[in-house]
Amino acid sequence: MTTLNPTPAATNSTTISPRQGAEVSSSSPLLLDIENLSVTFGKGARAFRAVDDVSLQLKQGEVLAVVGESGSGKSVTMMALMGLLPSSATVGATRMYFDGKDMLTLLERERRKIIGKDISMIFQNAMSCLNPSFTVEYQLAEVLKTHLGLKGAAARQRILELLELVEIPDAKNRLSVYPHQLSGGMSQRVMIAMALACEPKLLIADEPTTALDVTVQAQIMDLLSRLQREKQMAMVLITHDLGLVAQNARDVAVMYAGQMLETNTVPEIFEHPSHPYTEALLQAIPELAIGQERLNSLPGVVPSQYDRPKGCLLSPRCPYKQPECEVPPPILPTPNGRVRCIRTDFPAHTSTTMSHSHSEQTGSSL
Amino acid sequence: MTNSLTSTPNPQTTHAQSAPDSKVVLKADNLHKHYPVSQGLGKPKAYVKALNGISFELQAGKTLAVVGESGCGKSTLARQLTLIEQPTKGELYINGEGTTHYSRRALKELRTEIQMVFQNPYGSLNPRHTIGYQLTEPLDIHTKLSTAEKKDRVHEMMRLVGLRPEHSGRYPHMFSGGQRQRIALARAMMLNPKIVVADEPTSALDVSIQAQVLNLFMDLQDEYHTAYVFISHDLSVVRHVADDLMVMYLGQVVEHGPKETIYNNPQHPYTIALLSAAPSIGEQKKELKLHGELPSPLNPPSGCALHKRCPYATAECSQVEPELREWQGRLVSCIRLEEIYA
Repeated sequence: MTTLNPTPAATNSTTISPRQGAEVSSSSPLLLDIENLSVTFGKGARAFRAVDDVSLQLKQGEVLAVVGESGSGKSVTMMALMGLLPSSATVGATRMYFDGKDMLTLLERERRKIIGKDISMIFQNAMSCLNPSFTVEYQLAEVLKTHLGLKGAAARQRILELLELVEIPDAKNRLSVYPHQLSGGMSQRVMIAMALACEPKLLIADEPTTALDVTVQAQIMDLLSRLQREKQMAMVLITHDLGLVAQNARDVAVMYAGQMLETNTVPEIFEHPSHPYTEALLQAIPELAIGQERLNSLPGVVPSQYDRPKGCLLSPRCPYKQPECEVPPPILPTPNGRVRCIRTDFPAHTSTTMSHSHSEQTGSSL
Repeated sequence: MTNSLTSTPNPQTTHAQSAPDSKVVLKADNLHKHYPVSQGLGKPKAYVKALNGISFELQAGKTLAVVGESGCGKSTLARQLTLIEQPTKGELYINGEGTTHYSRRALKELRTEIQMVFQNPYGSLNPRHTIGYQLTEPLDIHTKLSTAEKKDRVHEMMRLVGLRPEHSGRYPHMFSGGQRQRIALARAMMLNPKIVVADEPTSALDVSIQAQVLNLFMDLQDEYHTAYVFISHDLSVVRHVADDLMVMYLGQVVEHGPKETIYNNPQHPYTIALLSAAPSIGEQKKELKLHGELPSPLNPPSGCALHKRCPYATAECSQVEPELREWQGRLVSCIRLEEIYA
């Protein structure tokens, strides 16, 4: 049954050998390489720049967390990569390579072969992302047929394997089930099965657990990071929950109003945030305010289309604002990443209290 | 306020902060809510037992947090407390008076005392009315103030929740999620209620905005001495706002007591599991993982509702229904506490 199938990745076995070596060496080529990505909606005077000068690099088998408030352009960045934005959007970039292919100039036909197969995505609200009129089996079979040409018994076999892979109990009887018969956690598992059906090289998880309970969230995150490790996938985890970042990611990119404000590695960003916004996000976590009367909060909201400030976009909300913040801040290198702020001596090495032992555990477990 | 009617011991007596002037404003006594479900023509009706004997007391100016997974009956409890529905069994006391025998008119009066803030501020505000109109509406219905007085009151409340009074002519879509939740809270506080029931008020908000809204909740409580019933599934949020904590599972209370007592030393396996499931940037907590999901309340497991997911469960757990009992300064419903903590 495997002979039907032109791609070597779709061998029908539950234990899938990791691509290339399991070790991620520092010299391995970049899987995802985005430089100066910008996305503009509309034209002329009413044009709105939703993503501005965003650069992301990701190697095979790595996990990058993209963090920021709603409206900071996290999802739009990923949609731009996949080419899923509406025609009103203009995407520009110095470089946008995925797996050696230039995603900017790629033909529509070629791109459709990549998305859903080499890049796949898990959305926030699984309940509404599954089609309510079709069974679980039909929706999974569609992916396998489109990308791998699997049909009939071979497809069914693979679907069962996938459902077992995502730990859905009693998989055989769930094939003919419609999405409304599944709970939130189960729908999200089906979504994950669908995303992993073609063994993607890059998995984009857009707030995969925001709609779920904490207990189910823990189960789903365990599942995602186990699969990510086993299959040596690269993963972009979009979230606003820094707790999830601490436990699951290796690198972090902090976004605000369409710009990337800071990139750093995971233990580092919790111990030494280099940007005032990162510091504010960390301090807003209720866990860090145990014993305090009030929670630390960052006043104000993310600027919208019509009230973008001049210069640094954070400046109206920033507690460290200076007159020089009126001009756009430069991007400066930090020991493990980059930061977009004029202050090179940002002193925020104080309030966050992430324990050392745990951060090391997290780092090594990935 | 007498509490001789409660069948279970009152955890509030162990609360260090119970000042002599603290008055019980809300008391639930053995609340049950069973919803009939049709099983098809000619078949007998089945019952979803959404609430199964909930009892608690809440004092003025205090916050009771209710936590649990979706489907555990948190929102059903909110509907009983806000007099939207009548409980199947049990009695709800507001300001010391039982409410089950109230007429519709008396209930309408009583509703000024207890207000609600909903989870989704995008759905709970009417998109076709201005903020000013929506904030004035409770005053129109329940008071006989003049137009100018109402306007003053609306502006004062808007200022109090951190909105600019000149924005009262705006529509909900012109506000962000955090601002909308401020408006929803302002609307609930318009009539100066004794009790506010907040059903997951910050779960639709970002972390930074969540902190602003939670601070506002606490400021208003200080100002008006309102009692809150704060429903949430986020234990780190609850830890910040609550005085007492009530953990629910499948329509029942599994652990109930003062917040710090429970957070510092959770006793029920379910509470431990909830606490260890919450993602944390700090050190790892007591690890206890629950497998599977909440069973259907239409067909709950026999004995302890948790026994199929609980790592400590024995054969006895599937037969004996545990009762809430006093254990280390709180109430816990588990028959195996002595053995687990031996």
